[in-house]
Amino acid sequence: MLDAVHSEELGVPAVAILTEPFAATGEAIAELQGFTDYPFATVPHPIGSLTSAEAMAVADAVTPTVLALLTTADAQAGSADESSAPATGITPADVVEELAVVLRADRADLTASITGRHITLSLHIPDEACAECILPASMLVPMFQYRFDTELGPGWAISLNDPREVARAQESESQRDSQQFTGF
Amino acid sequence: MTVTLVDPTLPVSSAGVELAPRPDSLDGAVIGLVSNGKTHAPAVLQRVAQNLIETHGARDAVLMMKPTANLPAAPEEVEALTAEVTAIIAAIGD
Repeated sequence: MLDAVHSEELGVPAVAILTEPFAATGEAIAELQGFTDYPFATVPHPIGSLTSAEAMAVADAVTPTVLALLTTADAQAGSADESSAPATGITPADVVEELAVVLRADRADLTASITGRHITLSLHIPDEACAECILPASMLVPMFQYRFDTELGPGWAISLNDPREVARAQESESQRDSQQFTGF
Repeated sequence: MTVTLVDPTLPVSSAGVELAPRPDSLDGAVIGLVSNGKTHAPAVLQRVAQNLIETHGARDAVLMMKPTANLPAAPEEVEALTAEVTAIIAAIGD
């Protein structure tokens, strides 16, 4: 963040890419340098443990935001409003449907609830569906984000409810309880 | 006994600093990439730059690797980089 800020001070536009949990830290660092509400790009955390392919998907997903922050297209993309959306007439529901069509090929589905500019996506994988055929959430999220950024313009935040993640967490918790019982 | 209390916080260096002027597009731009050495940082930066070159008219990219993620780049290094690029992307803060 400091390097981006120093670049701005030298008159060269810059954008810092931070993972989401470090957004508050980034804002504080920029503010200490005199930049209130300095816009930057965020990506899901963590990055370090991703595969190379997953990291590339993250890079692809964040590219539209980087472009917007570096040009007059929308220098405040971090707080982009409706006016930054391409005038295509495409709605968030249209994008959700496009993504859902792809998932239905594996008998899964996608629904969404939209609050302001935050889209909560829910992945549905019935028993007969091929859970293994569907990319993991760590890859789906940046791909979905890229789609929303491309279709609607930057400034839309998404989150994904993936039943596989819930099942994995429950299994992990169950194993922990079992180990505790054995140890006891 | 006198106890000296040291304030560890930093003062705001200046207020109301403005963004550098943005170009209308990245046509012909040279992009400076500042990697802090975190895993995947150089690859992510280069992929973003590749996307900007292939689809948004940027001309080239220059990668600068910082020796540590814990400190900002030396002022003279940032000055040297900004002298030869149109815009800078720094990553990854995590």
